[in-house]
Amino acid sequence: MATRYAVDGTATPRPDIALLEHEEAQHNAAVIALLREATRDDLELTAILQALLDGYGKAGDIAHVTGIPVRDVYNALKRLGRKVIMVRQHLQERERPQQEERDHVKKQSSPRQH
Amino acid sequence: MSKSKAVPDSTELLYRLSRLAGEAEWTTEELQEALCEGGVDPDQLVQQVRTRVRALLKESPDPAPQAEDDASRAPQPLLGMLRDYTQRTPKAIAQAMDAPVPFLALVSKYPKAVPNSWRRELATRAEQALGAPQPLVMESLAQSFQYPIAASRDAPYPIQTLTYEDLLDRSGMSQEAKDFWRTLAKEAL
Repeated sequence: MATRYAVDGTATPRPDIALLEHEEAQHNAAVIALLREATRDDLELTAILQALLDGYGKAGDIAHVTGIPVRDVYNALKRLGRKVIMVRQHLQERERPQQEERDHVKKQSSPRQH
Repeated sequence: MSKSKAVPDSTELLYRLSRLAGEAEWTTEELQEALCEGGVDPDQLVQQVRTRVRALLKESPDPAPQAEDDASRAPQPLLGMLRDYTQRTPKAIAQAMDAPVPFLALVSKYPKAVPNSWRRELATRAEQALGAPQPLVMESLAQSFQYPIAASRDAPYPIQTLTYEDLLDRSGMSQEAKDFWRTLAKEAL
């Protein structure tokens, strides 16, 4: 449950859930940034990604606004989808040492159990 | 034409992208390549799913363990076999063998298009880079691992006849690497 309710009925986000959501948003923002970098040399992908960033959410609309035929938009979206996977893998590999370091510090700083 | 939201946040944007990519028509080849890139060996995945589905359906309570046992001993596609042998990911295997994942998947899928010289080269690389015995690799490359009928289809996939050039086209290799394998294939003729 992401929210809890005060006596007066107002909702406040649970801090742990809010933190997780914040981390996820940061991670996804990094994915988008890397995706933009990875598609920089491909004009078609750049245009389609920009259309998505501008808020166009239908292939027909993206085709209209970019001037790229719908069929090509779909093909480009497939390529973009695959690039997202690669970017996520790349990011995961990049973040792994930091995560391991965090886990290590956490392990060392936690009190020993007797 | 409509904008559903002026500036979507990153999570929303990735969701839209995933939804739109899902709307596109994917060929079998594209799906396989996408899975390979994601570190999933499609042949291995199908084999595991089929084994589990069989067990769940309890088609035959007694022979099931035998069937599973047979499946684990049966020859596997190259990538699946090497993954079991080395406990490495397909990507790591491909890197060690200096051959892209799609190529390693394709040689298992279309063994008739694979020249003997390629088989020997792959077996040598697998042994040198991963310590996998050459006979295992040769056995794995001796038969097709394209399943005749997919679980959700009524009819088999049409049988495609490919040449080694077709495999190279779909392999995702650099031009230099393609030339190497092409020369190797021609030497064998």
